[in-house]
Amino acid sequence: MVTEWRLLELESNNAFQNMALDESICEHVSQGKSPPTIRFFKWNPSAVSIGYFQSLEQEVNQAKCKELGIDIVRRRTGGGAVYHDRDGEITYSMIAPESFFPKGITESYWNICGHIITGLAHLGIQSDFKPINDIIVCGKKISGNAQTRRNGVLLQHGTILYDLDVEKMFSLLKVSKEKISDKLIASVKERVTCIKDHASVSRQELYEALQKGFCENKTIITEKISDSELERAQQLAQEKYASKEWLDWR
Amino acid sequence: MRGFAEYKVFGGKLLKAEIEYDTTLKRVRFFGDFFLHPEETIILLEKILQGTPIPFSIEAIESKIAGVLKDQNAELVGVSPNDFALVLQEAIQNANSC
Repeated sequence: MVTEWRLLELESNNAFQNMALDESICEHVSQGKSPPTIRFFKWNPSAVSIGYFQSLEQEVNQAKCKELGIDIVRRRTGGGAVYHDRDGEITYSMIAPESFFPKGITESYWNICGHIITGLAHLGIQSDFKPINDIIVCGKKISGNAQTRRNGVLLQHGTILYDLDVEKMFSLLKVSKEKISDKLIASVKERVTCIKDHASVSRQELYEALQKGFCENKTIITEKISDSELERAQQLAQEKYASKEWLDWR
Repeated sequence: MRGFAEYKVFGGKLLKAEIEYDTTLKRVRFFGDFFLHPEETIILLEKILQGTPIPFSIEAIESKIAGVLKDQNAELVGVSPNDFALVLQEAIQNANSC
């Protein structure tokens, strides 16, 4: 039997709803109520997300976020803090039973990141997977990815940088000197790049290329998100992701 | 006493530890951009280290962490049990040097 994947087209949500939708879809896939899903989204308003194991205080300039109206949310995935600019990136989630992916964690990152690499190739951008969870172009990070596996379901989400305001990004994130100690470069700012540095394309064209990268060789259905998924997401957004308890737990 | 340390795994992730201790570890919290599946295992890792006599051997900490990972069928990505032991040791050194 051919596996059908659901594509949820690019949409904008606030940070809490975005993370809640991922979790709600995971639950529904786990319960067999929803099909494997590929989802694309943007963040409105712009937001900072921090990894499950990160300290809010250590990683985020909260005063600056407040000043600029930027939401802060804790993810249920590990990894680092990310600034999600409303106009500067596209985020994806891929959610399916674990059995759909390689068992090894690095192999599964490689597998899913391969769709992004294929998508970027459609724009003429040569990129490479850099273990553990990054994609690089010309040696610089263009995409960060994070994965969790719960109740038999694998969720991987990640961002692809379209445009970059480095000064703003690093005014919001506190970057440890230790973090770059083995990179032998003067500044962490030199480690990141974006699509606009490598191709003259619109964000819509980036989205279409990524969609192609994720969807080719799959049977895609256009089923929308269900009422049950939305209802659960709204509950999770309100009770979990927007709560101080969840944000402050580390 | 309280101690804090950051430890960058070469080619890997950043691991931080915050501790409170006297003759034993009273409280341990790990932070960082590493991955641990399932994520909630971190609570067990921190709990099992409470009561560890100071000073401790790297091997003793490594063994406790590896034991929890095995029991929980958990997997660390980007850091190792040895890295957890090293960051704890550094946190104690940092506290002593304050």
